[in-house]
Amino acid sequence: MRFGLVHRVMTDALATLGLLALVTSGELNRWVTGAVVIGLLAALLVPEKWQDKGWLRQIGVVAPVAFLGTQVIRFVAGNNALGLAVEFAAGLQVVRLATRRGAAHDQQVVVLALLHLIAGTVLGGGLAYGLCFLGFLVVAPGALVLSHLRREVEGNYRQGARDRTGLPVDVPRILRSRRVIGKQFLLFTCLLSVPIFLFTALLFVMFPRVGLSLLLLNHTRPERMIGFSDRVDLGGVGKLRSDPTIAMRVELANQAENPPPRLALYLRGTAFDQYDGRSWSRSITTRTPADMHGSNVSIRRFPDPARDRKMTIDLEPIDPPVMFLPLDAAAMRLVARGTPLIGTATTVLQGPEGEFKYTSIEDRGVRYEVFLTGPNERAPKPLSTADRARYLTLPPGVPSRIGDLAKTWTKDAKTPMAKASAVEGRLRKEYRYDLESPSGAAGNPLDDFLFESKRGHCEFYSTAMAVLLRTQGIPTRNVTGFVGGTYNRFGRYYAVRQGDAHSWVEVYVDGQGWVRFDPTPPADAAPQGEINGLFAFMRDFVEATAQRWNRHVVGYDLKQQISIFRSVRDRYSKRDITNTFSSPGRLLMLLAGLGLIAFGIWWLRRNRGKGDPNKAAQKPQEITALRTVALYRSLEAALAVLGAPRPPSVPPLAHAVALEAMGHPAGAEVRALTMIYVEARFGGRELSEDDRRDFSRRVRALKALRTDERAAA
Amino acid sequence: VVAARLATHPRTQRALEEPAPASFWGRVRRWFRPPRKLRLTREGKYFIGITFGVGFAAINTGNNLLYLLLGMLLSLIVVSGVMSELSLRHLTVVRRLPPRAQVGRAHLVEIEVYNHKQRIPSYAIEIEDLRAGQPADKRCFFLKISPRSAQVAAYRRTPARRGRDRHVGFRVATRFPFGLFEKSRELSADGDLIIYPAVDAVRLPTDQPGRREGGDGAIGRGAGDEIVGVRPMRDGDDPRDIYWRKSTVPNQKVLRERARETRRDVELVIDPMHPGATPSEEWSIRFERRIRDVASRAVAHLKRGDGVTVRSVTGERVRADTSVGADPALRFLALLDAVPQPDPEPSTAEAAE
Repeated sequence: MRFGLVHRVMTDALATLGLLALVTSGELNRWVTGAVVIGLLAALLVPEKWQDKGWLRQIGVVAPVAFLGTQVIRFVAGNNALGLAVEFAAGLQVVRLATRRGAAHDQQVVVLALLHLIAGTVLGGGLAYGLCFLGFLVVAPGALVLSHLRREVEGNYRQGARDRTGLPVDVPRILRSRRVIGKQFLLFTCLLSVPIFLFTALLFVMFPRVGLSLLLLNHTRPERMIGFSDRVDLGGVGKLRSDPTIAMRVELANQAENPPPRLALYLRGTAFDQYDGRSWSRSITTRTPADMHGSNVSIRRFPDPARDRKMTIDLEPIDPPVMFLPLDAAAMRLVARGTPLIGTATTVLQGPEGEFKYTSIEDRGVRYEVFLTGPNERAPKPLSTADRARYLTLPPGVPSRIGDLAKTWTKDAKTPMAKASAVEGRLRKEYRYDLESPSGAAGNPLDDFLFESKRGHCEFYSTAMAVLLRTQGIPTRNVTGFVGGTYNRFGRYYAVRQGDAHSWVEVYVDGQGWVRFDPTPPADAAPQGEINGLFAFMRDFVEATAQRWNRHVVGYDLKQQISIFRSVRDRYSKRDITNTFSSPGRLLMLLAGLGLIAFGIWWLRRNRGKGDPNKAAQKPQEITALRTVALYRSLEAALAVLGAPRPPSVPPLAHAVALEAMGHPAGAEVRALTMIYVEARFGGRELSEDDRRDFSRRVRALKALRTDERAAA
Repeated sequence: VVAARLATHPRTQRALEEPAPASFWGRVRRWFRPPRKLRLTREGKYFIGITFGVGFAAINTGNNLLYLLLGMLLSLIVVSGVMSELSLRHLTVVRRLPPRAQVGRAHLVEIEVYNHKQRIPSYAIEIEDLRAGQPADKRCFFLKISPRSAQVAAYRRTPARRGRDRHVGFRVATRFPFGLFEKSRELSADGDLIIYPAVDAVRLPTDQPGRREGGDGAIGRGAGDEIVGVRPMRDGDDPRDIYWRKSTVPNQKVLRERARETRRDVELVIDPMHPGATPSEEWSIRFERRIRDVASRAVAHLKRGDGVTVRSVTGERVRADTSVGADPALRFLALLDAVPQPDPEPSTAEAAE
């Protein structure tokens, strides 16, 4: 593999991962994201031979300056500085990738990629970021090594330099060379990611989570959800029904072996008491801090883990930050994600309709445990006269036929409960669920829904039921929340999606308190997620992975850290080595493992020289032979000095015999030395170190003959 | 051949050791000194800065992903340390000095690095040749030294002063793998190179008339270096004069006839004694100029065929002629040190006192 090509590919991969980490943070809008991706692809496709073109170099100089100027103007015009900076960073990388020339530019690309990853860490942090990070771990060592080597090459080999054989050793030749980088090198550098990953994981787990919270780098960007603010227009929630984004994950304690794939949970978020004919709102908007003791929040009382049923809710960040609870929630407990040095991490506010909101210094949602009341625990709080009046208030100008309809539907019912059930039943049976109901555009949506279109989504149903019951003197309130979720087989939780947003009614029944009624046809009110098929399988897998990522990596905190340390300590402090290997199976496995390691070491040692062209030279006898040949080469050099070199066609011994026969003064000595060589090389004679030294000394003496001869002359 | 050289080459090389410090704490410090030296490169400084920044942000925000990133950056530093160590280990270095070198004339010094590792190549190795008392200014770069092989590179150096150039060892350094740190170790390898004084072109006084034309009886057979002809060998001839390259016919040896030496001897005297305990700068400049002058004249005489004797007033002398070349004379001049003038003999009056 060519050094230059491999280096380019690795650098490109690193830059791509950095940009992806940035793009997937969601900070860039759709158009800018598209432009960055297209720019990246175009930059990667710029041929290397264009590097020397003048116009490309001019682009490399002008484009960043122009881009910077544009961003400054946009900033002055009032655009978000962070967004502009992120766009500039992405654009700078695209320009640099397209116009890079030489090792210095490649190093800039690597540095920019690292900065993009850091920016992605702060701005994003989802599963996509996790994948980019993993890719970075694999690619970064190779890219960094190659960038460094290229810089060394450019710094150390000057243009036009030649090696000892006369071949040029300039940079282009090295970049074309296939000898510098081999498959093994690539494999090794990529495998480096394994120790880097392990060490990273170790540091991640071990590093103390002190959480000083002096800086706030988290960038708040939760999705705004319709239906949970202080005012809800009739028709708004319907748009959410097709949104598969996860809103929360619900884990039920003591879950059955085969949990139902869909479960109706009715997690209420907000409730409204006032309907003005078009919108629901609250007549009392003040919120008070919830009754908290540590992380425990009292709803009816403080939690009693011994008897309370429990569910855990992992809420994604939404706006407004509403906490979702079932109607029978007695208490909740916040699961802390690290305690800041100053202030509290999360505070909870309670509204007049029993809804809760939280405020947090971080934007990663909230995780809390909900403790549910038992069946005989309901202690209804009598409704005051003022409150009863609030829940009975009808919108101004409500048509009389609505009251007539309610009277008709409830004529056979005697109790408020029976009346509510009757209205619920009629709405469920006689009306059709339709997300695109025309009633939303009508002057009186409720009247249009009940008498004209007879189709609508959950909010029409709940509004209709609430108003119909109020005409009959039954206190009601409209509730928005999430109906339930679909079971994730990998994460063992119920995934509640934004599409599961729902609206229903709470009816106050004397002696029973608030009772939930859902007039929407059950088939349409059910959780919307797919539960079968490949898509559902893949979706569940990705969502469960994302949850684990969020919980164990993003949400790793001091509590988990202490828990890990404690479990490790417990495991090793209680373990007795004699018990560990008491069973024959374990002992056998230990022995097998040791045997495997021993075999591996032996195999590695045995194959140490495999594949090497000079492997033969590693054998001792071959080394001896080569050393003997080296001795004879020194004798040949001496013969050349003496003016009697051995012709290549004459064997060593024949040459020595011929010299002696001619009466050469060194003939006898040359023959004696040649005999030593022949015996050692072919006769099996072993030369000791002394023999070798003696041989060398005699050769030097032969050379000295020539000097003596000249001196004598 | 490389394998044989590797096999015969020692696998280990002694580390370059500084003279033992006299003080106790100096010795303690030396004992605790790590075997490798580590220096941050410019890129390394940036990297460390980024790492500190990420660490600071991680601690202050509690953002776990920043901890993760911090872990990766620290891991890269650790891996960098391990890989640079792998690259530096089991390397031995030898130096091949030229037989002679001269002030003002460039010479090449060959550096050969052996990688004795069985499987792991060494990358981006930089060798600095260390000379005693002089800064390391020359280095050779080796991009890759394959396992069980050797690489040769050379550097060019132009000496600025005569004398004995004592090479003491090598500084083997690498910035591999990421260029964040430069790790180095020093290996011992002694070697001396005698730097001859500079030689200028000198116009000698003309020879006595007729000398070059043989008026002095220059042509004649003798024991000189020049060969005046060849002839068949006869009985009584010195066998050392057999011209073996021409003696290809058996029993018909060819003899070289040598010319008689007819050149004269020249004696050049130099005074290395300086007044006072230490030589003044002015005297040193004059002394060096004199050495250069003597060297130039000696070479000029030798080129003309004269024998040259260089003598110091302190009694040392050396002779050179065309058969041995200028090396003895230049070596003598290269190593000639200035010595203080001995005190004059005390006078009789002083002795009486």
